[in-house]
Amino acid sequence: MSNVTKTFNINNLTCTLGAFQISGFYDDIVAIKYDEPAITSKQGCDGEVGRAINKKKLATATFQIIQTSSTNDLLCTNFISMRETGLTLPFILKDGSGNTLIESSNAWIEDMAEISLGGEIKAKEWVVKLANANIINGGNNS
Amino acid sequence: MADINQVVDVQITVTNNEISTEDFSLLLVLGYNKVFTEKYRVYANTKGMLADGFRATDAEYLSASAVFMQNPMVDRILVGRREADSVKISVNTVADNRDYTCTINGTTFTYTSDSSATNIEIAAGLVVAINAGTQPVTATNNGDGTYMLEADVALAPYTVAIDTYQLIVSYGVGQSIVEDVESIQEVNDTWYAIMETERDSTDVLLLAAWCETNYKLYGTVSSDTNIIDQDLATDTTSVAAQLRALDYRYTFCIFRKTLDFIEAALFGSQLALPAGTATWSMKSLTGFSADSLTINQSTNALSKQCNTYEQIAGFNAIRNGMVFDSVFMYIDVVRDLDWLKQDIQVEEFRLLASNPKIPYTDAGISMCQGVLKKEIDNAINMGILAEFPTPIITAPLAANVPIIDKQNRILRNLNFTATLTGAIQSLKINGQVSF
Repeated sequence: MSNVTKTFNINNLTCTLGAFQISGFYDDIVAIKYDEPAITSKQGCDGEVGRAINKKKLATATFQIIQTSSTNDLLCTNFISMRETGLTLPFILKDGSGNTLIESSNAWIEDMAEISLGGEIKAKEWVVKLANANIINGGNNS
Repeated sequence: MADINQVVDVQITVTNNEISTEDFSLLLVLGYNKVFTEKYRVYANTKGMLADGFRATDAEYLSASAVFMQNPMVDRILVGRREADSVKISVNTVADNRDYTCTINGTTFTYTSDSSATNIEIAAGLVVAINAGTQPVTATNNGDGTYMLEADVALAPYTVAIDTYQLIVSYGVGQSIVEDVESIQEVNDTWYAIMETERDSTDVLLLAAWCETNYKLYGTVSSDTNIIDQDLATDTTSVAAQLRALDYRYTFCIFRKTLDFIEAALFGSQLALPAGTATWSMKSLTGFSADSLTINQSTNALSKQCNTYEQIAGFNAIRNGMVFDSVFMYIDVVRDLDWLKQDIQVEEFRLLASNPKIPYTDAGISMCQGVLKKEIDNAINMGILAEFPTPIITAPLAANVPIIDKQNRILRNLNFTATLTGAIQSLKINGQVSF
């Protein structure tokens, strides 16, 4: 119904990488997307359409973390450990006030965020790769 | 004088991430022996057993031999010792003017037979020699060429080594089989599988019951012909029929026309494989000939979920790799799910133990959920759980958790549903052709 009001409440959002909670978001919280489309299609010159469904579920989560947040320290520590040991961690992002859920049992930080310091508070952009990610892209309940 | 700690205080915290776990490839062979006094010893081959004093005819040696002749095979086994206060020794070979020895706890007692030796005379001579010594055992002459050794203090272990002209013919029961296995479990609980060498039916049922509550996989062998000659409804006395009636999940039995240690061979070959990779059916075992059974005999055994070792199309094979439980049914399912259970337990424990705190918040619950997700995916990679339908993990919101659980710091309702991969063990194919 058009007059229904539903609410996304950031307080109900949790995002964890291993035993660490990711917080301290800049403007946007996160952008998550599969790296490749699940279904690709091609239309032949005579109009016949062919489709290919792939099993690839590698996804990328990009976080903008405010430069002063201790989350940067945690992500940096984990990135160093991941680079040295090949460690992966489970990743879960869950909207507790809705149905959105992103899960990956093997996630890793792709690279050290770029350091850019100046007179204003900026964002550090961290890219987390999610292997075999399950993404439920839902709405909110109430 | 001022202490340097007042100036430079160094505190080093050690984080111990090592968690003691069950080894799903480790077999305990339980039997009577007077070779060692420890509760168990670890062996990686049979040569080590001979060096310790086992004989090539001992049940433990034959079991180990069955294990180590398989390909693939486990890299080691435990040999566990049942307590026996008394032991009966027979003078098997009589020779004139020969030294007969009985070594107790490293002290050798000798009797030299005369020029008209009898086994009665030799046994009597050894008894006198032993009782004249100070070892904490009392020897008794049975008057028939055998003699007994009995511990002066109940359950006080002692070793016995005898020359090749003598033989240990029996052991006196020191305590129940459950007490024996529990006393080993107290000092080493890393083993997952167990077999025992005596196969006394009372002990089989006792040990099977114990394994149900201790989550140990027990394999045994029976040559009771009721298993193959009577159907499920008629047979009420065989071990297989009784275990089937009890619906035991952690015990399997193999019928053999002649008792041997074929369960050791099956353990040796299948425990060597990672969980999720193999069924225990249709496996050919080195060193064991197949039983020739009629179709009816085979059906009778399999109806009780008792396994057989038969020749199928020229191929010796275990049929059907089953436990006695009517739901779990297969040995590999039991082992795979125990592996998964331990994997989840260990990793969730590691999460709790290796972090200063997992908060009782949605974030903390997510951390626990993340670990569960990782282990479920691991089980998929291992071939235990099916990738499709996709396993579903559900977790409560912190706001919906009862206060009492928060007070007690217990997280409940972290649940998953998943599908076992299962396995194909037989086929039924229908074909239709026409002109």
